[in-house]
Amino acid sequence: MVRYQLQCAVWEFTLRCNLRCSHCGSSAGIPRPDELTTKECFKLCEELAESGCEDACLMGGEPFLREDWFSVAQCIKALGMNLNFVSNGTIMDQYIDKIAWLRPKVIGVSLDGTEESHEVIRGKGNFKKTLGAIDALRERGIQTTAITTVSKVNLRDLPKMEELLLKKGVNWQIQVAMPFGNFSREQMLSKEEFYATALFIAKERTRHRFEDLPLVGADCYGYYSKFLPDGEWKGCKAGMTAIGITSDGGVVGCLAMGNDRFVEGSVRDKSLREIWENPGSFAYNRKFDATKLGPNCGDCKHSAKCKGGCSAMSYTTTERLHNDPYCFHSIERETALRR
Amino acid sequence: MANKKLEEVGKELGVSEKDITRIRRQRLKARLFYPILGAIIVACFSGLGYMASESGGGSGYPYATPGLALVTGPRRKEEGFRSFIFILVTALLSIAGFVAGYKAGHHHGGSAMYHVFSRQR
Repeated sequence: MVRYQLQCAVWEFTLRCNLRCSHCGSSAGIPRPDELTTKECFKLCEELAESGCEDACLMGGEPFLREDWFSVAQCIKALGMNLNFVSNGTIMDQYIDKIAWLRPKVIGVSLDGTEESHEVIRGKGNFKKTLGAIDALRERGIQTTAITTVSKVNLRDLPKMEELLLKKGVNWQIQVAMPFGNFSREQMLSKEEFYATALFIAKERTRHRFEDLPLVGADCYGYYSKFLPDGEWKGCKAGMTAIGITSDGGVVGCLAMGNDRFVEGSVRDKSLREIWENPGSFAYNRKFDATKLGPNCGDCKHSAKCKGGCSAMSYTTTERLHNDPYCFHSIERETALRR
Repeated sequence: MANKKLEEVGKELGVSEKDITRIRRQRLKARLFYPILGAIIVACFSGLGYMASESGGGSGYPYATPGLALVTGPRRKEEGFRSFIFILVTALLSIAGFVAGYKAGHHHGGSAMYHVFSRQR
């Protein structure tokens, strides 16, 4: 029997959020009706550590809105796991010393464009707060990653953001907004625009040393391009090495898959280990075979390795898994690029 | 044809023809140059290991590291010097290999969607 080792847990710590972003996949704002209590959070931390999980990432909603964030974060550190956060950065100034004291591995701060487009997406007055948070984190020597979720709204801001982020000394992660939650399909990048952002990432990687601007595309960027440097994608990690945990204790392969049908169980009913080691869990990835490939990937020569790209992108755009249409290989095949 | 189309696609985000050439060159490096360099280094390493092992009286597995061969092998002064050169060259090649591997490794990034990228991976 294959044994899967959990490495990374992305934990929707609360669904409560002070912003109402137009591309938010979780439709965050109001907390879920029955979010985990502090005691349950501590228990979950212990279970994560027992499972050998290396990285725990607290995100939301806005994780710093939960009153017990510091004690749960402390618990994660005390159990020997790497602590990460993803935040919108708007209330971080109140807690910056506490955050620095915790010595997180990295903090992701959402920065979605120049002032205008960032505020179209995230609301008025938030751009400066977010930049302030990034500066405060960098002043304290905390590794910071600016996370930009790209859609038609902010696509053209990327070159301007490069100038800004180069000066800040932060990592930069670019990911594509997917049509679930608040985000409307009309605002999603076309395949050609998606490919253009990948070209942009590749261009920046040749123009700057990685140390000066550590720019990466998230897992939705790939696969098997004839032109672009995209590494060797060996399939989605959801349920293989990574999990997502909803704020009411649901365990999913990836929070970006955005559908209750992917909840494998609740940590309220079973231990995390039971859920993780259940032979039926995460079957879409663990029991993958070529018959599961969708029409976009069925005849692809890379499908055995690639397994149909990013599960979240595949499901949110086509309502089926292993069928990711936002794929360099297929885009190159469809356009004149391979001729 | 492909270059023109790529330029057209990336134009709005400031991707020029020169960038396309650089991207393709970098890809070629990652796909061919670094693996070939790596293979040469491994071959040299094994060869040096073999030679050092031979110089140490042929004892030990042919792919033993020169360092190990030095400890267990050479007795005469000139053999010791030769082994020292082997170790030095091997160390330099290993550093070159590490740098090549590092560069190739950083050529493509990756981060789980909805997790956050960090540099210590």
